[in-house]
Amino acid sequence: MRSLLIFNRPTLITSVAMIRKIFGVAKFEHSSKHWKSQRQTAIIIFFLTYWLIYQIIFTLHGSDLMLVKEWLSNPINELLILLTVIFSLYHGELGLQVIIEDYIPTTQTQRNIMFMIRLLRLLLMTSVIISLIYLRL
Amino acid sequence: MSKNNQPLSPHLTVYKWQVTNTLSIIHRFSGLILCLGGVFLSIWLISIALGNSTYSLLIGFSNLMIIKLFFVGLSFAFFYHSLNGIRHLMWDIGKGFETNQLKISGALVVTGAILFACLFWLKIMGLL
Repeated sequence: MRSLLIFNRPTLITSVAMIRKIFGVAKFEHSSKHWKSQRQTAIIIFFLTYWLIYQIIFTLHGSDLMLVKEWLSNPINELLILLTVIFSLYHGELGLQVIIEDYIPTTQTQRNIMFMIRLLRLLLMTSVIISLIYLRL
Repeated sequence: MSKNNQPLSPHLTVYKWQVTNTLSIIHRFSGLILCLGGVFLSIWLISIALGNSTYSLLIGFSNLMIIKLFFVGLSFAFFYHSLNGIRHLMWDIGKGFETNQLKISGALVVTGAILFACLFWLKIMGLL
């Protein structure tokens, strides 16, 4: 019965951890957690990106700004595209981190490059969030 | 600068080229291309909020031949990376490690990716 409650303690802790990770407040994850996050985000964006492909084929392709705005005015579309962007960029960062660890020899350079990538990701992510809020106003 | 204790990954040139390592390298490379795709997706969403002039600028940019070629590559990369991702997840739960299974799943992934990408573009161009 306890596990059926959405806001029981473990769920709350994991969702807070997820939010911290997404907004870049948490530290770079250690190997095992990194591995787990990479798989979790992979499963999430698998469904989200195929949804996006479906939308591109049947609605978005060739539409002008008016039609795209109309498409975005549906809250479900807006939420799903936001989640697609957030989780794809995060999955991308995790993937790039693996490549950097494989091919960059010094720890300091690895960290510097990883910070730059994280900065770029946060910049893109917050810009997208602000844009979507602006479109709602 | 302090040297890391962790060993570097052997560089690509030392491998004997086989089906398995080629597919693995393509997986990583397609991931890199998809990062650029993610950046484009974000810029597209931002341009919608910035208004008509920015949006048409981006559409004009997308209509350049080299960017169109990039999108073709991006679609192949997406379908390959997503299908090969399933293969990776299967390995993570400990399935499909036999040599013949690896070859069969690899062949399925490559044909699936090419098929999906071709279907996608036929659908986009209105030929299907």
